[in-house]
Amino acid sequence: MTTTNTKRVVIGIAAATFLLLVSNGAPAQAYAQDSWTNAQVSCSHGTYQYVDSSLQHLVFGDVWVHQTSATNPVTGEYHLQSAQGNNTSAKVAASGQTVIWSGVIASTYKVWHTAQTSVNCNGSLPGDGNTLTSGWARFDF
Amino acid sequence: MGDAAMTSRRKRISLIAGAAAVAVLATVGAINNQDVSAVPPSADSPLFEGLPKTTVVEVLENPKAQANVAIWPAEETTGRNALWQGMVINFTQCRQMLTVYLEWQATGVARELPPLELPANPAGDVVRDAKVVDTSYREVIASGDPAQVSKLLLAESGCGAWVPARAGDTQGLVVADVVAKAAANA
Repeated sequence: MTTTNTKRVVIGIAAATFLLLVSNGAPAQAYAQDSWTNAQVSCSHGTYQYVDSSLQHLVFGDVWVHQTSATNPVTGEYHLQSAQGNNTSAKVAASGQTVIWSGVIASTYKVWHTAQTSVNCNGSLPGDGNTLTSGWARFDF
Repeated sequence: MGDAAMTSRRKRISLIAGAAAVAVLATVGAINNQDVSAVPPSADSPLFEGLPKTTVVEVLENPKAQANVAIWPAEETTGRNALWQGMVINFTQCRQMLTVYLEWQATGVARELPPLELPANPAGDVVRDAKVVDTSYREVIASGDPAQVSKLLLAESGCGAWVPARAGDTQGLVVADVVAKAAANA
């Protein structure tokens, strides 16, 4: 993890929540949810940090990312990068919003964050500074 | 200059120095996740032992591969190295999957995917992660439905979206382009 991200606390890691998504007779599907609390991320657009802990997405399906909060009004721009260098498109989530990628191939992913636009989180000090953000990602397996 | 004046001057100097130090630290803090200085490994590095040399060179020179690594913090050497290794495996398997798909379309027979080539000195979880993808590839081939293969190669999150169909041809077609054409002609 990055120096800044070492401050983050990951809760609910792999102890993944098994849920049965039974609807219309569809087969049971389980998912793992990885949450991050107070992950320190940059307020500068174009500076990236990953915020999850490499959960495995083991079936072709959806990945959800939710930004719960940010201590400064930073709207997150998120994308997934697989362990083999494949990427999804970037999607934008303000606090309280969820973004979903459909048809994501099975692989191990990190969720990368950058600020959608640069925000001054640093007051009169130089640079945009950092903010603390919380959220979760949900992968199928 | 009297003692009082000296003390006042020292305080001002201390305050200015302190403010300057805070400013420097804040600046460094803001940029320390932007790594532009980490030197990519050499193709001759032990990191790539066991992987096909030509593909190693191709990946190291690929601008998108370089961009993938560039967002990683400089201090995360293991993560960076695992990604370099993972991308070499990815390029190799992606074109193998393309071959399987094209031959399947042409002959109606699904050829088995060659054995997964793994690095002799794996970084991080690269082997575990490569096996996740390898398993999914073999499962779609075993499905008996070539459309399952094309679905993976055409996916936005799949290798086909960025791996060149011809090795080293970063300006030409990517694997997904070739799959789309083949699917349209099927």
